[in-house]
Amino acid sequence: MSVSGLVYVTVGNHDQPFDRLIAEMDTLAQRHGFELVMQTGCSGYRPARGEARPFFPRERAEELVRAATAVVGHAGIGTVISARRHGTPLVICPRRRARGEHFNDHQAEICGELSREPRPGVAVAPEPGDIETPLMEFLRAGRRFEPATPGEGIRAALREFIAAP
Amino acid sequence: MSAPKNPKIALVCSDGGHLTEMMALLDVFGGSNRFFITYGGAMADDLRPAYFFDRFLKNPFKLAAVFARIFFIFLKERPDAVFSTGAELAIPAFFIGMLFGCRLAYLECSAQVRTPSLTGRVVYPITDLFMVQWEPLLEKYGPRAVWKGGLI
Repeated sequence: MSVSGLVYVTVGNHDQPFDRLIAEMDTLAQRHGFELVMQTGCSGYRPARGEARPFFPRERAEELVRAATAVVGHAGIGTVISARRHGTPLVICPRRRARGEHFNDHQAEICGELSREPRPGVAVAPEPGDIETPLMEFLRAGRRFEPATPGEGIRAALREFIAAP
Repeated sequence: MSAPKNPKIALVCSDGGHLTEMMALLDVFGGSNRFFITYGGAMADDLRPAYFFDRFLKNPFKLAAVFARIFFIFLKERPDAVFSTGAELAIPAFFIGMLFGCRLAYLECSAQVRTPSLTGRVVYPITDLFMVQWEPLLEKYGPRAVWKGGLI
């Protein structure tokens, strides 16, 4: 079944590959027909569809997040902050140490927290096979979320810190 | 002694997520007199004025050189306070900062959900404002750690 929309995929600039995510997104794009642009990092997988580059310059990456109907990414802090700042729906999938995708399982821990206390517009896919359902929901709905820049508590504490005698 | 009207702040961060989090908080320091201590790299290009360092973790000679260079930076700049989002670059900056009587603030990276970072554990004893981004981490540090929410 074909669905329209642009999906931007990002795996960050970590120096280990995340081929499982790239391969799954390639498959989903072929199956559903959405437009696909992928930042593949150091993944060796060569996707059949869409535009794929190891890295995009920062401004272009921001533009892609802004313009995308949905973003699919590794569970990196930059990815979550960027998508939420633009109100773009996001599906995150953790890099796993056991798969050689990261040297620790912090991304899986973050995904655990974001599953327990979900943020608006952020869906968690524990494995690449779990991406399809929330992604298709986002694409069919085509809605954007309220742009958010969490961290007001931190900012307030820092302002107080700066001003303190 | 009361703080000067426009305190000078040293902003210290390594690269990757630490840099991303520092950049997400730059608006707080917009009006401040500030300078950066960071690693190099394309992502850090917008951080000005900045002192750029090479990675030094695995090399004790480099570490000594980093301490020395940061000492001279603080001697020249005389910041009133230091804020860091980690990682290990915060260690020499905080200890030298303490030497110069700076107030010290630290934000544990959002990647640390349940496990304290090495940097955090080293600087916790001397940090004035020690913030974690996930509540489970509070008890792992101690009573002076605070949780003001997270960046995600």
